[in-house]
Amino acid sequence: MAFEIRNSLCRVCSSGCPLNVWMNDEEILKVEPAPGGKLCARGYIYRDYVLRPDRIRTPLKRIGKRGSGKWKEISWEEAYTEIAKKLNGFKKKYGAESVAFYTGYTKWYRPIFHRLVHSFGSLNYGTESSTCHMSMRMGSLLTYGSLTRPDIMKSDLFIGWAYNPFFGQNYDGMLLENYKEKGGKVIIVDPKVTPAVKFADLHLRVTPGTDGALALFLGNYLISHDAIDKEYIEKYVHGFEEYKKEVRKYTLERTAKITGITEGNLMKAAKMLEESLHISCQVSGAAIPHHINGMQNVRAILAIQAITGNFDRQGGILPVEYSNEEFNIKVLWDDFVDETRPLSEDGSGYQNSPAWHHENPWFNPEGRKLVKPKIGSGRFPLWSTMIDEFQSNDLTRQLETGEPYPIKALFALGMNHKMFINNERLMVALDNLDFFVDVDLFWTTAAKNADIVLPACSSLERQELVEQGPTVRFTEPVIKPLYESKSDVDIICELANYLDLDYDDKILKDGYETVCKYVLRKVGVTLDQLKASPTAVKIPGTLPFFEGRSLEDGLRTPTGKIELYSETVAKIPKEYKLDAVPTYRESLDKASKTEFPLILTAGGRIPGEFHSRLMGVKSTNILRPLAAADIHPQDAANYGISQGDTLNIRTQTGQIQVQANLTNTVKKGVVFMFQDYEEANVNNIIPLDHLDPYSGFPGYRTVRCAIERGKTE
Amino acid sequence: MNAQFTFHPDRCVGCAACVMACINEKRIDIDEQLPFRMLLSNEYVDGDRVDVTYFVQGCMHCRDHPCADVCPKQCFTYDRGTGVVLLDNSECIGCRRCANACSFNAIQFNRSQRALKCDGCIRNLKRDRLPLCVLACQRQALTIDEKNDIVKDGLAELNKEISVYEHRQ
Repeated sequence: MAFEIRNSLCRVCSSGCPLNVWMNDEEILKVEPAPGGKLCARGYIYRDYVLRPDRIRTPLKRIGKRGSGKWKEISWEEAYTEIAKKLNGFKKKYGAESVAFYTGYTKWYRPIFHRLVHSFGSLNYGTESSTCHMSMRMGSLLTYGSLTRPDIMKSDLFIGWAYNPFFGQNYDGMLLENYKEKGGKVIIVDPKVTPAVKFADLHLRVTPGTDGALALFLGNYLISHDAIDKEYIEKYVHGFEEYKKEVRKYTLERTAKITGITEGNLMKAAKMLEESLHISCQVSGAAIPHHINGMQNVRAILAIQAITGNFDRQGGILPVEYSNEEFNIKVLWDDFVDETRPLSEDGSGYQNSPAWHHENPWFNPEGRKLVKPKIGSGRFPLWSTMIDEFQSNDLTRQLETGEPYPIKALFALGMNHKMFINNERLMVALDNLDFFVDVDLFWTTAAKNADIVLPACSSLERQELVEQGPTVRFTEPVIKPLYESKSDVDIICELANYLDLDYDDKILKDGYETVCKYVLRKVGVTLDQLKASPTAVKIPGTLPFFEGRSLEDGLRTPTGKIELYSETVAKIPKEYKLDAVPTYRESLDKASKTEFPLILTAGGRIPGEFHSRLMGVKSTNILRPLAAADIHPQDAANYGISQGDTLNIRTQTGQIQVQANLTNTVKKGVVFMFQDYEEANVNNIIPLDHLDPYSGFPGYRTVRCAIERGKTE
Repeated sequence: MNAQFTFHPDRCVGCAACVMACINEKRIDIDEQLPFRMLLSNEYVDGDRVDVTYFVQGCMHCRDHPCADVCPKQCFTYDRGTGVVLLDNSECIGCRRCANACSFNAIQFNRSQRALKCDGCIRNLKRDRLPLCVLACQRQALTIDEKNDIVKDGLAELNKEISVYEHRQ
């Protein structure tokens, strides 16, 4: 028996917490956090995640009907040959855009996959970020030309919009606690009572989807009480007058009515802002954008820092990317993706985005192929302009109608159909495909319905180049890939050797280590150095934050200023009816209020789960034995529902049956449901067109619903 | 290290890391037994204000260990080096007196009706390493090795939470 501790990373979520893996020969005994670190509930069951019994073991080819479960084992060689024959054929006959490439949650290989799509000659690369993070990113880019982070420790007031770091982001939780101990003030805006509320001086239990109105009210109050930074606005803000005109509509009385917050609490919040100099904030990348008014709500929220002079200032919110490229010393993934990019033939697309800068020396538009606009371009032009991915919420429609062009094949990695809106309709639409490949670790619904399935491996079984803040790290596998599985990157690079690429991509074809060396070439750390280091290595030359540097250099917005009136939005054709200032509108669907009197909020974080990844790990049942929805005891009483009763939740689109969990932590009138139960697919009952016109994001968190006590079998 | 466990309900945020850490450390099959740390919660409503208190139930390795006192088969021993109350269930007759004597619902029974409980990760303690649930806690809600008065206060509060929870069930 040879006992050994090996280093790796937990990759259930993207945090990448360092793991000590306790090994007995090649058997994983357990995991522990690396010394000095912490793991969350998910990390502690990483061993069980890796050893999930439903791992896909070998490449398989379907021999029965789709979804029939009849498969034939094939070799990797056979799989690549077959996939390439099909994809090359569709490319030749219908154009490269007829193949859609999609990836689910995990993010580590995305630039490599993205480059393959470009080299193949298409812009049809999509991800689950069509439902997570990107809408918040859009709001942030439109306003500040960069994502932002709160400089919480130097703040006087921190506003957490749907903020709860205690079910996963350990470090942020500790930061919030240290900040509180130092005497910092906290406002939490959240319809739910979460552990973060314990740290709040004021908890605003806003009606879901009305955060924008609340933010506009706060802007109105600050302007009318002269609690704004006029010099800063004069110098750095574009569109203040238009914004000022818009916020005037949000009076105390009206805002109280919209948001369900009492006038007293609204005034308390406004006064706390008025009395604070340094105001920071954190906006949830899912909870706030998951409304059909979500992107605009993000902009309204971020505008508070603009008018109080708190962007790019200590104690406020800081840019994550500098506008001066010289300061962004990092692994060159953006460069890597751009190098082989074709251009969209309608002239639209990411190359026109203000967030994407033409001066990049590596990007030469000459000689690039013109290709069809990516999926969703006609429907979500703002998304398509700003985000370098197709809007995957438009995939179902395009599969059903074949407009503006047919999609013949889908090559997916880790596709979780439950992330899609009204997803059983997607599963039916996938039947229109001539060819569907899914790569995954586990037997998901998507994998079961594919034509060819390829087994991927976990972070314990692969090499991985990890960039975290100002550091990079390279991990080696701690165990050999289980069964015949391979690292996703190896699958992508090996497949590149079989595909007819428009760009003869020698780097991709050469494999992961060549790719890593290539993207590290300006970082100042070599791959060999990283391989020799058991821990992360600081990127030499990374600079500390300079206050005001980005504002002085000019932001990556069309005017170079903070844009409360967005010139990017103003350029979108009028028929799309997008407003250039952060306006507010109602987020509920048009179903009858009498028939569907409650609000369904689908999605959120619960301990021990992350999307559907840990649903197949038996131990997590100890925390949530059955699919349950949270309802308020008063709502339950109105409908004669008791704890543990069967509960029917109905929307205009469909119905699910779950267990009732009575709790005061949800707001009265709201039904909360975690999104990834295998046995209760709540995202499926959200109407297919319940999408934010700005970002294409689904309005998962505000849908009219009705509840009733179901029959217990 | 001395394994006097203390739980501070005011510090717990219900993240369940301790529960999963126990499952991981002891390789528990939840179809066969429960983890040795269980997460439970109470809600207190006062007008608009809702307070959720979480508490973690499991063996606190009490210094006065009533479980050991009532066992007719002397299954329990007290480890002087670490303060851990150990259970050897090979003689257990499943009389459940220990479970009834325990304020913390820390003793469970397996399929063959033999008692099971936490061993305080005694192997770790002897090497000056923390028990895994304590190591897992982000907020020092679950601690060991504290002064006796804190131990008493912490345990009294935990006891109160558990009795509220039991009353509600």
